Amino acid sequence: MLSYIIRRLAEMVPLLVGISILVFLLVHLSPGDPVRMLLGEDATEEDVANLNRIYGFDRPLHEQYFRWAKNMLRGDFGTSIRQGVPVSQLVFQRIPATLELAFVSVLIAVILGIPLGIFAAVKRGTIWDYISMIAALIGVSMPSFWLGLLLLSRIALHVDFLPMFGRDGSVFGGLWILLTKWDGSVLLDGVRHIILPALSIGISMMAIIARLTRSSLLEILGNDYIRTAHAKGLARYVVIFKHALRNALLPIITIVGIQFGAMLGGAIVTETVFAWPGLGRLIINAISQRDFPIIQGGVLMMAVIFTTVNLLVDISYALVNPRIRYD
Amino acid sequence: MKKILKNPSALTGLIIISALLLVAIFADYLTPHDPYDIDIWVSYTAPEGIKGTYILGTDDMGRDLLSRIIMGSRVSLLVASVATGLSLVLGVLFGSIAGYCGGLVDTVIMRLMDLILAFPSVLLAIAIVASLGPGVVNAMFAISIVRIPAMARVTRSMVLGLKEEEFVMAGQALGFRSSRILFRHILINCFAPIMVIATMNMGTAIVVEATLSFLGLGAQPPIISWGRMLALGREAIRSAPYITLYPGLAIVITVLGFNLLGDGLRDIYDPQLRGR
Amino acid sequence: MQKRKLKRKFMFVLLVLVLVISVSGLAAADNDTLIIGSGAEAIGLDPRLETDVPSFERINVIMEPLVKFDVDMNLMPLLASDWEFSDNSLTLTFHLQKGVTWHDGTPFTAHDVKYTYEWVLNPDNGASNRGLYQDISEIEVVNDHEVKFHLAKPYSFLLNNIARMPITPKHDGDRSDFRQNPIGTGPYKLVSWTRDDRMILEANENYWGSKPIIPNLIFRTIPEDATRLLALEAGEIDIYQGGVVPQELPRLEQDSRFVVQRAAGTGYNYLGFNTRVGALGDVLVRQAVSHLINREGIVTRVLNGIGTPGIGPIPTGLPWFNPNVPHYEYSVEKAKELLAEAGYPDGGFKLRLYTNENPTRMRIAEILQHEAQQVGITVEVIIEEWGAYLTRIQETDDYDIFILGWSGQLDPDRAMIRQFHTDGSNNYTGYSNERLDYLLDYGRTVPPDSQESLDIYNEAQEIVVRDVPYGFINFSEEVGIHHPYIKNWSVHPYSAAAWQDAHRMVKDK
Repeated sequence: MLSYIIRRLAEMVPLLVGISILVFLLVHLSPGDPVRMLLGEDATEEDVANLNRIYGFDRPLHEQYFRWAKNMLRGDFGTSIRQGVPVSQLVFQRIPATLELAFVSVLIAVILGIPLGIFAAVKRGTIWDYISMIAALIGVSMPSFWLGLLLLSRIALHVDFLPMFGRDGSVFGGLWILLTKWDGSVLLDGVRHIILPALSIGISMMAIIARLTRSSLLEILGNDYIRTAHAKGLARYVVIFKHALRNALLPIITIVGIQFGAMLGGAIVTETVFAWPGLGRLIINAISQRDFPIIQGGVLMMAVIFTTVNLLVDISYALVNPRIRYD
Repeated sequence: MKKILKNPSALTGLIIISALLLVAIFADYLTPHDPYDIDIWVSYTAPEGIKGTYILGTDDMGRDLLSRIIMGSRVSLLVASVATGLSLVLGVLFGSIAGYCGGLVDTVIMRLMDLILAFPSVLLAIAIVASLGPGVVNAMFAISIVRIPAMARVTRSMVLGLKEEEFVMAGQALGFRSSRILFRHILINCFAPIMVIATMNMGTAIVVEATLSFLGLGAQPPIISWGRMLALGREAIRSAPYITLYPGLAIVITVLGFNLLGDGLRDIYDPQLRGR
Repeated sequence: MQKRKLKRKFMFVLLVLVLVISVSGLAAADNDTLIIGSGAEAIGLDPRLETDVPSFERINVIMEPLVKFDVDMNLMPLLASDWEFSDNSLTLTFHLQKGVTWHDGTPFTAHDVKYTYEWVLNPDNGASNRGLYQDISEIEVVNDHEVKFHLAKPYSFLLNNIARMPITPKHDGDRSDFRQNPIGTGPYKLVSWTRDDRMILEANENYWGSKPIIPNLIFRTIPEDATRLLALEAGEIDIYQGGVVPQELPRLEQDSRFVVQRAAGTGYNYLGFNTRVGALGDVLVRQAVSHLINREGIVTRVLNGIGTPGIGPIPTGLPWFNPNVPHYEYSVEKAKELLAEAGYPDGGFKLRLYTNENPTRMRIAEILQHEAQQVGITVEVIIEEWGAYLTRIQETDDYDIFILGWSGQLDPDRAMIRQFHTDGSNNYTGYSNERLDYLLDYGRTVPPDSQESLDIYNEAQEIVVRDVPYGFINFSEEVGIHHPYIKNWSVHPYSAAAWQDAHRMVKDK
């Protein structure tokens, strides 16, 4: 097991190098002069050339890349062209917000998706089964930003409990404060603000999980040992929960891992709709301002988070499922 | 084909998509108004219902929403099919080469695919389009790039499995050229699972196109795109919610159609789930 | 048995949640905190480096310039209580306000003024607005409360530029994180700043002017116009200026729960013509296209009445505004006549129109595309991402028409010399007129309040409007919206100064 983890970690190194090259090329081959945008309307040609030199944009591309990569290994992501702030500071400040949004989206998806799937499986073949599965399919088919806009204008405006924008408090930090200091205000604020954005991102994953739960359950319910359990007279719901669900969990974990990227991707646009101060919004803003160092650092960090999550999912999968070989 | 007709979800999906295809093809004849015709004096007309002049109302420039939604189906379907087609061709090509050749070629190709998969796909699509510049063509390109790895992986694993099968072995023993073996036998056998993925990808591609257009990176005027209609309509979401509602619904229905069909196809072709 | 236990546990958790909700209470905003919405995050808080409105909106409550514009665009004393030009217009003397201290208690003196401007003028510092002050040759501190600006050549409108540059502290201004965490002399002190989320400020108890009434100030960044309005309607923010969704205005103005304030702005939108190449090199063609701009329609329908039809380059609120220039009324016939005269009776040429993904500009582009069709001109609309777009306009002549806007046109010099002088730093259109160059150079040396100044710029406007390097679309209008419980606030024509009098505002909910 340990050797499997070590090997997976070692595999990440060339991948990260590849990611960094790809990100660098994407950013630097694009049109648009960041320096001119920075200096604004009154800049002289001399000022532009001067600043290009300061930022090293006049150097050959490969030289710029190696300088960037070398600095990055030391934890220096460069300095934002527009804001004059270290990129690492900007990026790391945003990571909790984006991670929290993605995790809560997953959580909502799981909390709503599994019961819906069970419900459909139990009512297999009835009208309820069809309705929940069609609803689930519609959920997958909705663009998250559109759903976000609908939730804002249809629900948030009329429900005082749900705010329109921004992030207040924190869900995970708030949970800790509730448990240690018996103060729930931070948690409550966090929950209020995260519900709608997380719902609009999480609904597609909820649908996928519901469908997966349903089909896994159906498959397992047909298996022999469940029939045996039935024969033993165990109550029907105990059977479903104890045996079937445990077995359905594996594919669900896999899907959570695969879909985490979709959650991060969905967050990019949804963060703008809900004014959520996360990494996605940082990147979108930086793209429109041609702030190369932020785009590089932000996209890179997204990719790193994503690959790390995938790695963790693979490892936990290996831990949960003794049948898979990890040599 | 018979199987598709018997599977309710595949049938529903097929009907939706066929209807959409017809709408897209005959859009010029179906639109009640000129979808490009600006008449700012009738802007923000609320939906007037089936008997009114503007059935679904007008947008910020007084253009008929229904006509624009009908015309917008073209871009969505075009982007989705070109992007999916391109990713299908490239993905199958890479996947089968990797699977058939093995060794270093396999490693290089699959590492490249891993690289693409290391990014959340929407993020990579945004980054590619931001780099190449906005527009339908670049959006199609970006969407197809992020969809290649899934295709390649499936093809490769199918090829790996089939390589050991008797009929391929037999072909090699008979001295067929390897390329012929690949395309004659292996690809025919991969057809079904790849079509399932491609159908699902169509839906995803439509959503990604809408996302890019929403961010202003997709289709540019005068090309009508549902995503862009959403982007322009969202400002007036309070007083004229129908401008964002209907194009969004068009996206949902289209994507739903492809998902239903893909779902049904999977039921039909996946032996594990067959007969349920 | 087990089932009941589970149920009890669940009830307990539920109870805790209900308790928590009722204890913590909702919507915490009270009369002691003013929450201002903003359409974009500040880039930074160093007035020497920033160029954008969102940054200056915030800077102007923390720091103060020597003089300021009031809501009628008159120059008023701020850190300078008084000022005068020498007879030869080459020396500008400021008498500084006494008893002013920085937020850290250090007294404000003439040395801070000298420090700020010398820092800006030093090319090595990369100050973005250096060009505004480059006629200043030397700054002389007479004593702690008097400072003289020596000019290399007369520049009549220097005061307007000085009103745009808040003074930074000499003893603290070189701190490496000054841009993120500055101090100033203004009515509010920065407490904390979380980018893209909020900036928290508190009243400066030792403020030299009238004491701030509302103790806390919070700027919230909400980029989506629709979301920002929804947030105001839900009471999550108290007030904002700029980016009010025009389509919603009629409804909001009817609604007694909100107060909408409007004022003529300091900017305009325009079509920029590439006068160097193709058909647009002909002034008749440019005039024809200008006749195709449906200004009334654009203002009433696209801008929902925010703004007025464009006439010339100088905002209507300034004394130099000349209404007696030729007006290009919307007329397809006129356009056809002019095109025929230019040798294009049936149009028959193609123009590439560029803009960025600004909804209003995109709408204007589509309308123009439609109108041009009627005279046989094919307009191809190309929407570019902002950075690529700006680079195209500024560095290449690879376009035919572009749509852009100017803001902060506070005097005729700023409104014209960069844009239309042959050597102007922002003369994107390649336009050149010898007489105009002379007028614009000369206008800078004439006292701004003289008849001569008015005459010079009247003629300059006539030339520009006649030659049509720009097709003027609309003048901007500033709109602010707030709840009725906010008092003592007026919308400011120059949005960067929107909150400069925040310390006088009252919140009485």
